[in-house]
Amino acid sequence: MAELSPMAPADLVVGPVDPGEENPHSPWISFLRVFAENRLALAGSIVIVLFFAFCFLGPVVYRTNQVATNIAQASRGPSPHHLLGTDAVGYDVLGRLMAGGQITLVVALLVALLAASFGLVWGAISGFSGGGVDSLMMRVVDAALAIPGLFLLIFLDAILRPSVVILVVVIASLAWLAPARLVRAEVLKLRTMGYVEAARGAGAGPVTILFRHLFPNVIGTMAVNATFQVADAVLTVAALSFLGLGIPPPAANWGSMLSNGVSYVFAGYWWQIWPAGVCVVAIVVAFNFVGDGLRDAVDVRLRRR
Amino acid sequence: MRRFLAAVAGSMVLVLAGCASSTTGTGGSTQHGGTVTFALPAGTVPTYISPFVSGPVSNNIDLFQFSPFLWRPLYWYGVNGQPTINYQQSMAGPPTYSNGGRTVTVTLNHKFTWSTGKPVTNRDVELWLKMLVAEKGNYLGYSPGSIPDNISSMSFPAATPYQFSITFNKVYSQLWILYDELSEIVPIPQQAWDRTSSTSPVGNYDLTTSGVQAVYTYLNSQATSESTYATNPLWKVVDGPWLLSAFAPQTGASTFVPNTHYTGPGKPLISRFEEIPFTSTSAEFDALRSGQIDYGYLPPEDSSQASYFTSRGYKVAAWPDFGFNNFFLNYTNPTAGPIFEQLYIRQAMQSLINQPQIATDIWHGDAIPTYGPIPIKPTSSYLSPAVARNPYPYSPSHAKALLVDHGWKVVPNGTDTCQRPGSGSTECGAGIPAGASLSFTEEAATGSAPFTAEIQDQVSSWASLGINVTISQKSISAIFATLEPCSNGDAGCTWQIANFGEPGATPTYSPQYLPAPGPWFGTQASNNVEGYSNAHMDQLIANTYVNSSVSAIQSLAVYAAQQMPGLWEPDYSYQISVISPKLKGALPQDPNLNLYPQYWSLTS
Repeated sequence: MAELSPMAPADLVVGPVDPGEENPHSPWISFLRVFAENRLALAGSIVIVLFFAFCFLGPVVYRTNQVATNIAQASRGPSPHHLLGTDAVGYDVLGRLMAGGQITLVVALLVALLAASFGLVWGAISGFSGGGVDSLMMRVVDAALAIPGLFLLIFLDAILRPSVVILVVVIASLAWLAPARLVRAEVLKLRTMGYVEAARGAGAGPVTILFRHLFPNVIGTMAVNATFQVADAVLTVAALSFLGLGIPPPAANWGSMLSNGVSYVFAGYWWQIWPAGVCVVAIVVAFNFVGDGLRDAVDVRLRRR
Repeated sequence: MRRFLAAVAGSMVLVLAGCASSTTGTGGSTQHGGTVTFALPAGTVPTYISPFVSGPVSNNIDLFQFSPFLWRPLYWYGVNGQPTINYQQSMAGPPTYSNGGRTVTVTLNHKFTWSTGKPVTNRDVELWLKMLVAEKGNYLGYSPGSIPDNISSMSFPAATPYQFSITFNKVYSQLWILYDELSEIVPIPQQAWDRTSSTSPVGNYDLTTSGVQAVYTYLNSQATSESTYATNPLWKVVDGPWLLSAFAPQTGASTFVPNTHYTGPGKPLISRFEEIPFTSTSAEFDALRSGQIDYGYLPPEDSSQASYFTSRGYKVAAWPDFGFNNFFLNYTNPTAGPIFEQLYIRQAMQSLINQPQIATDIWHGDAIPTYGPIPIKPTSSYLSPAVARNPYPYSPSHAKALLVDHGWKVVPNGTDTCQRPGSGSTECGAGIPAGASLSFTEEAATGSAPFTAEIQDQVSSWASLGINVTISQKSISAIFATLEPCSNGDAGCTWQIANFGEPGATPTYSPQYLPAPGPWFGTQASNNVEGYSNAHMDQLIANTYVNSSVSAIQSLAVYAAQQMPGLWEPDYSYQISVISPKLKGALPQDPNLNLYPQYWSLTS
């Protein structure tokens, strides 16, 4: 019955593996080889690592006061004391980028994790159950997708008091819809595969089949999707904050920094605009490149080259 | 919250009967005709055309920069940038008093006529006052206890059509009557508006309560029908210098042309006056830079662009409004209320607000520190030396001492807690339990970058002494919607501190022009959304209603400045005006926010 065993989660494949086909390399090495062949994905990975280092290790090296304002130093240009100048209340912009990046990245990662997890469970149950349960669960998804996303986000954000947790929940409440549909489509295909039928024939229950046979085979798809979810969440956090609906001051994130900076565009305070804007664009592009690379890497056809 | 406009007055010392118009030309070769464009505040458009302004519907534009072009108030306030009565612009002379001061008699100026050619008489005043009596709850300027509640009787003799009398229930301050009571009256054309439908004949419906209520219902329905503003025959009967020739209900853009039958002071020199709406300050600023606007404004965050305009010949001038600015504290909040009740807490929080620095470094001089309910600018005789200085200058050490002396454990950048509960002089205060924390939530308005910077600075300053304030940013309308004193058991009443912040959204003394803050600080007053109650304050407020001396207002102002029912913060100008070099006569600007386009002219 070894042929009927599910793929290990680490295999990260999109489709089921044909057990009869030989693979000269271990799955991980194949995965890494294909991923490494994608130069943009590699560059994206490096950028992400650098951003995490910048945001979480940077404050250890470049110490600034991001708690107390200093309006006597408001909107000063770059100088040896403030490498990227100061903002409208005197915060050091470089230090603010680090502090704001922490919130932006944490929110984005948590949103991706939450959305992918919930979407995975919802889509898998829906696709595996089929029939009326599937119809009902997918109509819920369709109904939620029919509501304009930004409108719903603004509405939820307005009636709730924004915080990191609220922001994560609010954004994730919409973000799980796409992965749910994605997973459901995968499970619909997988549940008719021979090894699933065999497992069912061997007496495996639905929970066992879901967790041991189906989840591992869609985890690759979800990993790819999660990277895009991170990128989307960064943009959503930035958009909400740009609209003044993000985490209120004194907390910072790149979106609110950009929003505040743009207000002074005619004053020529470029250091309050460009750095935050560049950070948002760079991290979003980087996660998208990594997502593309992952998609290639989990594609078994590419691995066979 | 019932409304955010209220009371006040100017100084009798400043009253100069027959003085010049409030606007003056600046010379140069003027030409008749031409079109002047005026930028409306972002997101604000006319919503109500009738001068019997509606409480639920009307806004500042309706009140000051729309309806008064068409229908002149009985008395006009504002002289050369000073908040004082202007008899030259008024439709009546100084009121006279009899019956021991209880009865006031007003004589209308014979020269004012409606656009139909008929004179403005006491019947037109009677219709307005009868409507106020019957529909006071729907009138924007209504304050319980004031007009019409305090009226015993009214007289509009047919034999003397240019005269009417009002007898009050007791003797009131003549200053208060002139600036807060008569200031509300706007004669409306009884000959055309005393009807109950568009097909009913004009009658004397206002002589019965049910009749005048029917008239109000009809007028109100028409006043909110924006698509008919420019065509409805009702709105063509005016006594002001302008007629509304076009109105775009989709955008709120309006066009005025001169009323050729106007007989009052200041006949229009230009041939068209357009009020242009904008959805954002940046859109307005773009239009201003591109030369589409003759009279616009600099968004607060773009104040550095003043030189761009001055170098091109524009005039850039702050337009300070006659009002004040403060935080609103909820004294009825179950948690925060007992803490805010303690004067030393308010003093400590006020001592951590560095108003001069905020005005300078964040608002770049476009805001003026508020030291009490009477503004430092524009200056007035109400401003006594005691209120002109900062009663609580920035002093973290003083703030810390106040907290420590009253039994609080001060934890800088943490949260202070009450260590000595009780109502003694060295204890936290009545209703504050041991372990209570100085931790609040502040509802703050979104939208203005300098204002966001200001609240960040305040929160940071408070945090430095362990006063932990969490900001919750909302739209102004969302904040307004929640501002009510909490009734017992109202679980939904959670607001603790509110701060509007936006220029133009702060309390202004008009159309009740006396700078006595009774409508905000009096117990049960119409604008007292805080649930603030102070018997001595009430006594001082009541004194301003019966004492005609300026000192009565000054005494109230001094006490209010010290007590701080709300925390004082810099008051931003209504706007930083940018005026085209070809436009003459727009300066000085009226601190009561009125416009005088009839005095404007264009130069070639």
